[in-house]
Amino acid sequence: MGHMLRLGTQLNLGNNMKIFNKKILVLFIIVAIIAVIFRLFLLDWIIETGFEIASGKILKTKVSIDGLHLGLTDGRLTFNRLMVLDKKNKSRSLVSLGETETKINLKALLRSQLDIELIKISGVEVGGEFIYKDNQEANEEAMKKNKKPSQLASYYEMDKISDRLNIAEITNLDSLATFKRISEASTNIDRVSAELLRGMGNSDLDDRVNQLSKDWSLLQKNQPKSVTDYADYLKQLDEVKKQLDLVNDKINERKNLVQNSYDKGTQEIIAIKKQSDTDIKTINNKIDLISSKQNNFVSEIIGDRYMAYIDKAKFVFDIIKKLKNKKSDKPSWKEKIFFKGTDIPFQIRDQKPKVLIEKILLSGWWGKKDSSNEFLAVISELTSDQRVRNKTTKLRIKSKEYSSIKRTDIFAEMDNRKDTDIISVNINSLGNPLNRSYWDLAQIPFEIISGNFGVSGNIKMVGNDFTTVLQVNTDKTKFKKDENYNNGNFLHLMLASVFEHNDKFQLTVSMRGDVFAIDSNIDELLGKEYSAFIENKKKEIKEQFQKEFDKQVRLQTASLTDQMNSAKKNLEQQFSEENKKAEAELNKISKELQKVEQAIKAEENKINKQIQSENNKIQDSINQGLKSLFK
Amino acid sequence: MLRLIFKVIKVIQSNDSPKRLAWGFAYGGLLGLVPGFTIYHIVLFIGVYLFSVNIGMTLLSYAFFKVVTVFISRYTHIIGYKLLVDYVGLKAFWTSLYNVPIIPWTKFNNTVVLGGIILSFCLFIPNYFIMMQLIKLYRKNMRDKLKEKIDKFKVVKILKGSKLVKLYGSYAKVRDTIKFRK
Repeated sequence: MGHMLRLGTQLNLGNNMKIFNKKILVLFIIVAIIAVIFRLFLLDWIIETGFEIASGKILKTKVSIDGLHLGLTDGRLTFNRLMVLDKKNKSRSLVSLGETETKINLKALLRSQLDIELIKISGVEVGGEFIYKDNQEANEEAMKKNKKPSQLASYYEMDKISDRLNIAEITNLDSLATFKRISEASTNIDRVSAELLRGMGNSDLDDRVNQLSKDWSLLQKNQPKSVTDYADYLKQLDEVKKQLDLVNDKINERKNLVQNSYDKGTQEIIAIKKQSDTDIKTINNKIDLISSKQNNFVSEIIGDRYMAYIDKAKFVFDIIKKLKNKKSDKPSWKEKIFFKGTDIPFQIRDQKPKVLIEKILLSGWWGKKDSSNEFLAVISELTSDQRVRNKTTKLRIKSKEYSSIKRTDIFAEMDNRKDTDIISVNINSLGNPLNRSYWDLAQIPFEIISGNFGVSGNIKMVGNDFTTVLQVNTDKTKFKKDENYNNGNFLHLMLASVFEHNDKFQLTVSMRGDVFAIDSNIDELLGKEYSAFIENKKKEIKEQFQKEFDKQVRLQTASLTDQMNSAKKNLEQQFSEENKKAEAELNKISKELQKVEQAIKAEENKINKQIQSENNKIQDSINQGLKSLFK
Repeated sequence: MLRLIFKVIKVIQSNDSPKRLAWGFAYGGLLGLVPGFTIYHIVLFIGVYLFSVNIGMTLLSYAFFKVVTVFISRYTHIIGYKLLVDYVGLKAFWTSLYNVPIIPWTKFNNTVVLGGIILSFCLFIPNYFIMMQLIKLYRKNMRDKLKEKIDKFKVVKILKGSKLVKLYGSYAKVRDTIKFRK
């Protein structure tokens, strides 16, 4: 243009004007054609593609938008569908928006303000199951990945838990001393039996009894006929008496031998029992040691997860703090050199902030496209400067169908008008599907739940400080383990147990200055379940051990006792006849001996009396002779 | 880059009228003394083609005043601050200006920007006259001497002897002929 004007000054005016008009006309026509082509075919496409690329880069996932149209005269921006795919599983859409209409205030745009009067979005699908057709391969990969057991899942396999609790070692009976002692006792009892039999075999009781009988018969035959014979007879009688005592001793010796052997066997069995008592005590101590590992486990299950959450939360809050503090930071060297001055704000008639979204209307579904999952949401007064607008930003999400068993009502308000920012959120919700997506955040391989939960509570943030109090209610009677539940997974077992026995979960998170506090009953509940598990496991191990131990020890001890008793019985049976015979013989001989001794005594008395009377007679004769002599 | 070097040399050595060169310089001041790149700059850049000013000189002046702005921004801030804040009587004017569509896009409510605009307009005429005198003086006393000196520079000799420069020279001749015929 400038060039043409300059030419115009050099040439005569009439020709100039003609050239000028023609050129201007051509230029305008070209510009108009380009503008029309641009508007009709390119503008919407450029915005659509630009939006897809830019948002895809920001969100790091596939974003697609269809049927975008920008009305340059009325400021309406519309599109038919916008979809954000899940980063982890690209087979499902994280958010899908249906028909969307946006109305922008163009007058405000000329005043350098973005005033969006209304954003109306219908057919919003949050966490739907829509499968994106262009991503088939990615979907298959994601499905494969999902099937692989995660590291954490394998960590909580029951075998590994048992290893950590040393259950295999505890229940291994082979290493116990009792069994060695049983084996030793068995050998000892066998040896004692052999010794007894040998000892019995060496006994010459029979011979001695026979000899005694013979000697007695002989003695009875050879009755004394003279005084000299009588002396020999008495000697032989003493011999028989000695033999009688010896036989008696031998009988007693035999009896003692059996008793002693039996006593030795009994001692062995007592030793087994003592050893088994010691083993039982050791095992019980080991079982009790399992409890000492409890705290570590609870910490492993939830402690680390909690800490990870806390760290993440702290990290986010640190970023927020840094961002807030950045505003008041001293100017950088760049700012010092390139001094940018100060923006002086002036009041604007019908003043509106730089960015203002007056109302966003959303309607759609949570999860499955179902009337019971339908929700309505209104966001009002979303603005870059609340002080100017002097209105708080409000968000209300609620279920379209409001019932006593299923409903959601979330109300949030953000007030940035004063020096301290205040955000408050009230949540009241019932009948939410309890599924694994809630746990994926914590990377817990928890895919066993099917049921519903309700949540109520509030979140309040004042400046950098915040407090969150939430109560989650579940219906434990309706709790079901789904097909992914694995009984061999300790964590599944624990969490399922928690949900089976409890229906109230509390969570309080707060931050005051730099002090971050988190309090929940989940650790307590999990700890309780873990204690119960440990106690049951201990009982189970004890019972199992007792059963196995008792079975083996009792059986073997009983078998040894039987062996001993039968041996004793056999021995007693075997030798009782001999003993009885010997004892009968002994009794007979003893009685006869007594008679003989009595007869001898009587004879001795008689003889003594005769001797006495003879002596008296002799004495009398002597006395008479002496008397007569001295007379 | 090469084109720019030639432009600088050409602007200095050109036979263009001193007035156009001086206006170009003053116009560059209007652009360069205002920091940033706002709708103000866009409008003024369009104006370069509308007004009969030397574009090369405008661009050189723009670059020169851009550098100057870095050093004087604290002073332009004072001017801007006085006008925007201290002179309360002007507040109503600024407010109504701020409410005019598109005008806020000039960022005139920034102290350095407004200070820059005011200063650049204040210096517009002086710049014109100063540059006019300088050009006249230069052409009278220094141009031929300087040309000789410049031609003696090895770099210039090399450049002049290069095929690229010859080609550019031929192109410029053809271009000028076409321009003249039109």
